[in-house]
Amino acid sequence: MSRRARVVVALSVLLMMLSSLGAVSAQTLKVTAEAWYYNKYKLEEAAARFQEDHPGVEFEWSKAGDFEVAPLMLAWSRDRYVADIAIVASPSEAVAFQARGLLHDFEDVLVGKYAKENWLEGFLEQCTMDGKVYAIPTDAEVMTLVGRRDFAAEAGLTDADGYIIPPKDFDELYEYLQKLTVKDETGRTVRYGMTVNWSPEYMCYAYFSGIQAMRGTIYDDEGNLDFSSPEAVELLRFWQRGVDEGLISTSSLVEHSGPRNDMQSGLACILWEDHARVIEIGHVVGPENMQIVPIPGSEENGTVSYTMSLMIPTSAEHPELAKQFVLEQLNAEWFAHDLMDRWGKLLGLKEHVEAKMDDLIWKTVFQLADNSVGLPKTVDHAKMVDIMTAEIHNMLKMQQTPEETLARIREQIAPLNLEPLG
Amino acid sequence: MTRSKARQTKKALVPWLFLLPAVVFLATFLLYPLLSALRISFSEYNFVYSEKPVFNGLTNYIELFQDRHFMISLKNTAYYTVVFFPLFILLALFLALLLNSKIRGINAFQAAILLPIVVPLSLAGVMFTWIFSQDFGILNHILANVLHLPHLQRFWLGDVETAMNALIAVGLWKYTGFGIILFLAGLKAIPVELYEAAKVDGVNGWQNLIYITLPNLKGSFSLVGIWGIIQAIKVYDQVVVMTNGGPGTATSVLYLYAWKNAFTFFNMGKGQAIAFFTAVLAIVISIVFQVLLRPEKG
Amino acid sequence: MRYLSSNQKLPRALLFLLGVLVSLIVLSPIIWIILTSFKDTKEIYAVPLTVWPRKFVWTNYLTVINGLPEFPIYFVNTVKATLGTLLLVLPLSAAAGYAMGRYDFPGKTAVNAFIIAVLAIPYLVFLVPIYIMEDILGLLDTNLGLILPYTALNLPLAILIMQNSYREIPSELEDSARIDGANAFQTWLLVMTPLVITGLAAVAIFTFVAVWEEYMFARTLMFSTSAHTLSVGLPSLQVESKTWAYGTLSAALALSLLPISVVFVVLRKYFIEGVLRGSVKG
Repeated sequence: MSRRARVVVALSVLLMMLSSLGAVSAQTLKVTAEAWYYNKYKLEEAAARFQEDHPGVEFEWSKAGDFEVAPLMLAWSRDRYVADIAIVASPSEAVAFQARGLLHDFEDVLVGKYAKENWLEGFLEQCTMDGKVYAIPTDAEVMTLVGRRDFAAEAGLTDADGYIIPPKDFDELYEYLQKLTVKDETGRTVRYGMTVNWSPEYMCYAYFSGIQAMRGTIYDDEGNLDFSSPEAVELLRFWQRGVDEGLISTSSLVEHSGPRNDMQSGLACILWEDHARVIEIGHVVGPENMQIVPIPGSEENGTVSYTMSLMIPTSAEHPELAKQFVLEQLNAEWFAHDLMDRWGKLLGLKEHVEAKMDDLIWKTVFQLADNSVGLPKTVDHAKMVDIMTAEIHNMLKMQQTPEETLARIREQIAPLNLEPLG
Repeated sequence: MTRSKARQTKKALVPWLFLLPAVVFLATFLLYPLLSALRISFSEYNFVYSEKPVFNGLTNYIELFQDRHFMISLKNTAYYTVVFFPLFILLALFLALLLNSKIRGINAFQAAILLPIVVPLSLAGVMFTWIFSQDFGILNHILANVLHLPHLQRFWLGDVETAMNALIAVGLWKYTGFGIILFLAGLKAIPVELYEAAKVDGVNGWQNLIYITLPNLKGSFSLVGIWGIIQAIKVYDQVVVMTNGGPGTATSVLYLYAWKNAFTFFNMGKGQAIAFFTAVLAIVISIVFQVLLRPEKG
Repeated sequence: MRYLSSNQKLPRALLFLLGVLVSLIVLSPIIWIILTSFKDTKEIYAVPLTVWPRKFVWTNYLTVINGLPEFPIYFVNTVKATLGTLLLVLPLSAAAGYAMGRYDFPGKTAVNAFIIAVLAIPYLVFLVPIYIMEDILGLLDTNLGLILPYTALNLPLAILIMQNSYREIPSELEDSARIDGANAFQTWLLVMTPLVITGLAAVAIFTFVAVWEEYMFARTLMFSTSAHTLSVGLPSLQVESKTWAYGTLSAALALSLLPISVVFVVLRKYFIEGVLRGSVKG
């Protein structure tokens, strides 16, 4: 080999060694999230932007199915390093991790721009235990009604500008349903006035958002979750009667996405689910046809909200770096607005929503969100949800009355541990 | 050692040598975990909130019978088994006989009828959820618009009366192929000479079936029967994907309830207790089934 | 039906029709899925439904391929797990089945009882203890970490099937082999095993399918993406928690059925060869 060639080879080898050295000293942030999350959230772009500011950081992504909490619990309880950031659970599930001391809290980084008062209170409070924030809220939603303005206009339920006039109470809402429902000659419903999400994932939110709207609290007079008040009976009766008279769709009894499908194909006029659907359905039927209608009573009494929890386990290898990524990119304005525009979901910082207040939808959502409550975190939360869902489904199948339903629920949850944790 | 004792030991040694590798696997990865899980079923143990398992004897098991949801799961599982099992055996036998014949296109039929075996049950579940969907499902569409039988349409997975049957149909679709294979293996093992001898005697088709084929399938019946019962009692995959026990508790089955207790509520003690109860139930019923088959040995 | 003589035309024609009918009914869900995979979203959710796509689109397939960039990794892991398990289950169950099917020995009832007991036990029972065991042994996130428990889980049924197959063989064959001077091992390997090919094929198919579609253990024991199998990777196509976009799902199903169907067809031929060999033995 000529002398020049030898120099070139030597330099190349040196360069390769240097770059591999760089790779060895790179830090890798591992992120695990439920698979669908990757479709909705621009995580890779967030990573790319983060890498511009923090060179030498690599990312590794792990996509999980729905059975994620148990494997993580197993791994983390044995101090196994699975990920630096995990986005897999609602706060009610994440509290289990916190109760076992498996999570880092975010107290040290919630300062300045990220100080606690700058977050939507309803969301942050859910992720707090014993005064410490153990998860960052993400993919947040508030429960509300979402209505089709075009169908409402046909039924004469809109004002001069074509906006749906919000019903002032549940009786008026029922009349709306009667006007909006369309049946064929055989009496079969071809268009439902309303579709409610009663699937196990949503049941407790649907139920308690109704209670909250009616009573201003989800607790009864003794401080327990309300399964006994007259309003509870009224709410269940409203649902049962609506189903019985063919005004409310029961697609959610089987499919989690039933109500959304109903709305997208024009089979229903009002959706009782999370606010984000207003954007999603708008993509299919046209955003000008969609409107957020507060659940009767929720403007004064508030509603229920829920979030996903973004957690950093104690077994993480780069917790501080992870926290930076979470705040700098996963709560950056571009990230939040992209999420809001495409999917309607919210992040926790107030300023992102405040920036869009000239849009009526976001104005309404902001008020609802700041004023919202989350469900209490308890040991037997999952069990309670399971019982509620089973009994209310039985009721919606006309197998028992609202009073019986509530009685059965109370009876079965009596032995459960429903003391709020922290 | 005397000669006969030595030979006896040697006689016992040979089969054990064949058995040993398998037994090592079974002991390490099944027996040991099983004993560990059994111990937990006799303890009070919440995976998240308990420090460690606390022995509580038969409490978990006894409390099961006071648990409403458990009793409903038991009833649902019983219904599933009672409907699934005979259909499974009959369909598997019938189709095995069909696929054992020398007709044209037999290869294609085999491939088609056995194909569901390789479809993962979780995916099959999602597929059938779509097919059974009330508004977007092809089944209701065909009933109403192709066969012009609109009154037969149902909210298949959402109606208490039909949900379980829909799940059974999916189970049959997926698993009948297994039964067919087991029966085919048994059918192929029947010596041809038996049929040839019968032909000489002038025996016709039906008599062949009853007097030659069926009796020689005893072993297969037993195997298919046991397998079928156990699959029915252990039903889980399609339930969790298609209805998750709903609507209400209409399709909640034992294995699903065990799973929920262990991994959703983290009540390991109770979850394992339900799992073992399910297993014992399956074993008892299999034994009863075997005993019922036996007396015919004359 | 074998016992029908070959010159009975009418029953054979009927059987043929029956075969066609049953095949179509069984395949119809899959055909529907394939048709759906070529429709675009609006058409899939349109009411009333269309059976044949008005317009054939490839978007669903593209979404799957783009949405699952790790597909090759998942595929390879699944193949490794399947082959590894088969390589262990087949010989082990053939050996064990031979012993159980043709010998009487102390402890046989206990083993038999254990095997049936294990078949009846829901897998979830084994999950946590095996997890802890593998954690201690350092087997988590490894291919072996799936192969070993899968072997153990599939052995009971395999042994039962082989036991049944070996039992069917008339003892004259075994005796004549012994007279010829073969020891137990040679008898087993060279004389008896070739006669139970159908049994082995059955075991192979059962085990293959069980490993291919197993989710619970794969999800819990393998937490790195690099160790995931196909069944764990497929939920990545969920649009939202527990929600599937049916177009994409149909495409995913069609794609994943492709390799499995090919393997299945191959195994089936092997099955039939075994039949021919088995029936010639007389």
